Amino acid sequence: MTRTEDGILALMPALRRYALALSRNRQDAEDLVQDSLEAAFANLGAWRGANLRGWLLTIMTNMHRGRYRTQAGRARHDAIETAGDIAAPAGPDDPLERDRLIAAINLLSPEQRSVLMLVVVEGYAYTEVAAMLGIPLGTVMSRLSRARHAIADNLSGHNIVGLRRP
Amino acid sequence: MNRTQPPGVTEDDLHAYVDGLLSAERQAEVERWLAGNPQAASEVAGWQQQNRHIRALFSAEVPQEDDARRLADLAAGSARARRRWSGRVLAASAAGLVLFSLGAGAGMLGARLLEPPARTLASLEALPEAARASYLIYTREVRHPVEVGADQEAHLVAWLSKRLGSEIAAPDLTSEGFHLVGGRLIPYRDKPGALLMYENEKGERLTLMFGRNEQNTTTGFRFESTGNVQTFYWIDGPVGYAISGEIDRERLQRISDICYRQL
Repeated sequence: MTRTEDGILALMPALRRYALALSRNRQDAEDLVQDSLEAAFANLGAWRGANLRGWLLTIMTNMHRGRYRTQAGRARHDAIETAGDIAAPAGPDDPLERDRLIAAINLLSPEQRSVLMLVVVEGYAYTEVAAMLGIPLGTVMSRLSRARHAIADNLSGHNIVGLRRP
Repeated sequence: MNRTQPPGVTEDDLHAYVDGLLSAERQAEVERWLAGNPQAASEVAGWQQQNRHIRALFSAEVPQEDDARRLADLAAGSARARRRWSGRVLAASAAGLVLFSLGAGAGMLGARLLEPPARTLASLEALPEAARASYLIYTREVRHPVEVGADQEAHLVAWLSKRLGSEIAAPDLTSEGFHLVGGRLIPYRDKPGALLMYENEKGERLTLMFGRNEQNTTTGFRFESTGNVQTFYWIDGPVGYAISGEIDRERLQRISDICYRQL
């Protein structure tokens, strides 16, 4: 196994969770990872040898954009299907909170979701995200802001009060 | 939140603060500013919680057994690499065509990309909404609010328990002035669910809904208010419970406590 393959192997969890956030169900996410890696191997020459993760996530972002174009007309099941699709129970302990959060993430536009994931889960700085997605910094900030406000609105919109059990 | 911050701290600063991207010095400034701006501070606290929950949600990804072999296949361009990891039949993929539009800029994310995804309700999320809908539909019925009346309570409870697949009971709410009117079978997520209806002297009605919970989870006790209808709900293993009514929250909570103890 080459060093590049080793590097990619270590990145598989990161690639999968980003793919899952973009495509929102496990099957599509697996396909997205596979297609992105296939494309990466076919174009290894284009990789400048630094920041493998950023390069792969960028390929995946573009692959996903292209996919949405071609699939926009098709009916498809599109939500993160909670229990089965997220690898293991994680996140808010209460399953209701978990489902609400997933539903709120699902409601974001793919552009907002991808910025949010790159910042929050992958830990990229805003300027790095701007470079990876090929968008101005201001656009990164406005997408991040909209994503956060939308999630907060969505979670509070239900007027839910968590209560101690009697 | 009022998005125009006083000079100095911008919303961008608040995001960077939440994401840990500020210098130590700037972070301290933002912290001082937040101390005097409770509304912004509470919003920031909400974002921090979002971050924690989102990270936790996606942190469970682990390397999979087959990954090393799959990568080797892909790298070698072998026939096996064409097999779908998702187990799906390989569709003609236009993937290669769209790939290296890298850096084509913001323009390519045109407005025609897609419509917002349809909201699909997760099973737990469906409970309070189904309870509210059942409440609104059946308590408005004057002549046929229930299928089986309270005069046949034993039969009603046995029948609904059987259809639901879990033992239920009709709680006694007389201490709160409500008596059982009866019950009916209702659909809940394509499975049989049960609805009991109660009424008081003034003609106010309550419904207690039972729905099957396939995921066998347990949640805290929740309150949700939509329009005039208030719903308390919780899930205990295989059954989700929801009590709906148009009475004030404190009374409804007392009633929910009674139901919870009796169920």
